[in-house]
Amino acid sequence: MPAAFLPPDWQRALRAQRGRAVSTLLGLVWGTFGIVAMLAFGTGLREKLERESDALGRGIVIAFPQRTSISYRGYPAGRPVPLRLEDVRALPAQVPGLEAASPEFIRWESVAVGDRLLRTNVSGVDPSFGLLRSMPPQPGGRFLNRPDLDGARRVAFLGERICQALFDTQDAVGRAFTLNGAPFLVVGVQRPKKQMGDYGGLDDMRVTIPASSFQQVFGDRLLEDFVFRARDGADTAQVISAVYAALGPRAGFDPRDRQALNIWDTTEGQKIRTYAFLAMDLLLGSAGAFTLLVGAIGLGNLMFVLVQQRRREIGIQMAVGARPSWILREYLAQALVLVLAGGALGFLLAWGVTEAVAASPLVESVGRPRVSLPIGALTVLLLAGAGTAAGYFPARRAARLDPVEALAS
Amino acid sequence: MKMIQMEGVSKDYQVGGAAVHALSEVGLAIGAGESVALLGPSGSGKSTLMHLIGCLDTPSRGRYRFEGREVGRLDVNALAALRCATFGFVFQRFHLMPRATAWENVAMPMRFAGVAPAERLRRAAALLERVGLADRAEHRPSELSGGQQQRVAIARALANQPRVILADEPTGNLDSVSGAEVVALLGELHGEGRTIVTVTHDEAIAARAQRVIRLLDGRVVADDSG
Repeated sequence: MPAAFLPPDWQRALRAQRGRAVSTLLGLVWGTFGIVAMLAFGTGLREKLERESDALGRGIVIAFPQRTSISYRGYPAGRPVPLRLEDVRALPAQVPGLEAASPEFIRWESVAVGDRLLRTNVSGVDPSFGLLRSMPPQPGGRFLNRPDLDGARRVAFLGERICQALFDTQDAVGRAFTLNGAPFLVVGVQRPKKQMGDYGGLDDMRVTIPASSFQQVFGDRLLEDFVFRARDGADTAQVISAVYAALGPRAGFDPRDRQALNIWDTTEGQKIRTYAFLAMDLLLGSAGAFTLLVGAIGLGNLMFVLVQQRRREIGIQMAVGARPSWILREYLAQALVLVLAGGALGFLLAWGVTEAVAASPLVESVGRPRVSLPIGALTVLLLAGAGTAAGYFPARRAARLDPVEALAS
Repeated sequence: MKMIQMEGVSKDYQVGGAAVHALSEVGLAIGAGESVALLGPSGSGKSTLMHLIGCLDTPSRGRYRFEGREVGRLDVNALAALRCATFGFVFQRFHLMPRATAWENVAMPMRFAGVAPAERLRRAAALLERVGLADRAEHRPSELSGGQQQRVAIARALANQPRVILADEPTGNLDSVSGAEVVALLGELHGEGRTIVTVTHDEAIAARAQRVIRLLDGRVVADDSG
């Protein structure tokens, strides 16, 4: 504890430099506040964006069949790629790095309860779709399962907004509605989620049914798209190439023909986001660090003035037996106490502001700012470094004073 | 061997590029328990000699041995430790810490000697009692008269029970009554067996010492006992 090294009259000496001491302290407070608050807001924003983009599905790839651009097995280029359920379902056996894949039919269809009629997106999928696309059910319900698919059951999983629009409640499990005239039973309602990025509409307005039931009701044979995810540790780009290699011969396109599928690799966005936030953290962090640097320079100046002002007193201390190392420690301790005070105030201020924002409606747009452990540790390190650097040179100057000369001043 | 032993000690200063010979070839020996006055006009080098004796400064040339230890070979920390344990300084301008109270001033050297805080407070109170300032313990130097300040300084000089008291013109800034009190106090300390070295230009004060060493232009010109 530096307090043990402080001379008994240090506060009184500081009071004599009140103006300087207050402005130094403000600099340190502001610098600490800058670092902590900016990084806390950065963390909050990042977490918000990650949560919202994960709402589409963490690390998934969505593939839409297009037209070929290379002639293949006698077929000319420009042929539409016909993708069927069994092509996608055969993928896990053929592509080792694949965690899961789900086919998807999509139609814009009418759904009705009594005389209430709405048009919305209807997807026909496999049970793995719920996990891939982050569609967790509210309590009391479930996503589509294997027996639903195998039995081509007339069951549906509803987005929370379409559920509200149809039933005026979220509590719709067990209720019935008609899809294109066919009766369907609600087995689950999606937990509300904020989604960034979509294709064919947001999930909160989606009606999701088993792919088998979809085919029975609408007669579709060709898929709109399929969704898949690489295993943890597997390289998504390699998995995508393996998917081309596996599907090409089945669906009649050259595996080298990148035009045959339109690939949306969401991991690319995650990478960009990671770098963008790293850049933002660096920018905000260094802006805060520079503010702190200015505070540290102010502190160094204050310490020089204190040493200059107390030359005679340092001489007296040395005359009565203070070792130079004691003088050094004494002035270093004063610098550190000031840094500690400024840092603590700045930290409290930043914490107060982040808590206030976290409790306000601003959370919707900027996320929930959070003072994380690494931010705290970084700030403490920076402060300790600034205090030591700013205090050391004035303190060394004090310790090197010649006692006879200092006494004469 | 005497406690303080100097042979051929010189001290030069650089002042604005010119060398000033403050002391030239001083040889002297002071035994434990002596009472010595260093007498001379201003500029005679008596304060420089006192600084050297008190290890506040080291000789440019020559040898100074304190209790057999060669002072010139000690580093700044060893010099500080020696000052802390052995010497008590009393200055003409008192040299109290202006923002510290009387007892904090008296307790200050004890911090450097590693005395525990509670013990410092107790010892400082006893020392202030001894110099007759028990009721001024919480006063700052600016709230004390010159005589009182010098008595606080003497209490501070006694903080670590030094064997040697070095007093540089201790009465120079005092009226005659206060000056007499201070001289009497120093006499008492000598009576307790401490070595007292008083720097002065005042024959009357020098006459109170057992031995008077006269300096002129940086040299010892006379050394007479009694």
